[in-house]
Amino acid sequence: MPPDAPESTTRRDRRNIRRNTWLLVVWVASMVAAKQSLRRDLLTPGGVAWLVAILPLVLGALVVWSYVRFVREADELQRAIQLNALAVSFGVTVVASLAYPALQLVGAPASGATVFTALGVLLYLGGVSLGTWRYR
Amino acid sequence: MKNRLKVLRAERDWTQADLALRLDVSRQTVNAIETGKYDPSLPLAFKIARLFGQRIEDVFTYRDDE
Repeated sequence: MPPDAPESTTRRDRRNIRRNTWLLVVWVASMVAAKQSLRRDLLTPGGVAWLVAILPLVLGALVVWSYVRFVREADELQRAIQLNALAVSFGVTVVASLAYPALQLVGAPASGATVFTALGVLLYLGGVSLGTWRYR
Repeated sequence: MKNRLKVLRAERDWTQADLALRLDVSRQTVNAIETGKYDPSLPLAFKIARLFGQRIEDVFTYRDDE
């Protein structure tokens, strides 16, 4: 990399992003494992089943905490990029999820929360990429 | 907002990475400020001015057309 090439994150940001990524992977894995084990009745109903169902929630809360910490500690340009990406993704997802039921009434295909969640994630990732490119 | 960051940095023979390290920001932030794509926060603007031993208005100039 040339000495003056833009590098979008500080060392602290990279450390926080690494932590976010690991927590995200563990959270997704726990959700998949919990859903599979609960759907296939691998666990007897009761305490352990509840524990397995609650674990992804706790890990999800950790992911949120980790992301908030990343944004708070982030380099100020990185923080602006994150804020723009979140504003677009949150705004579009809320508008789309509220407006879509009316479209369904006139024949649009059925859709669920997963689709809007995926839309939000894609818009966020697109927003971060666009912001990074804009300030390159 | 116009600024003299690139000139001040060049006078000290610092790379963008050197300056970023001294300011505890990313190299992209330094680059975006130098090219006028991003205006720094007031605390960062003060930090930059103090690092170069200048007054903030000697580093940053506000243009009326902004």
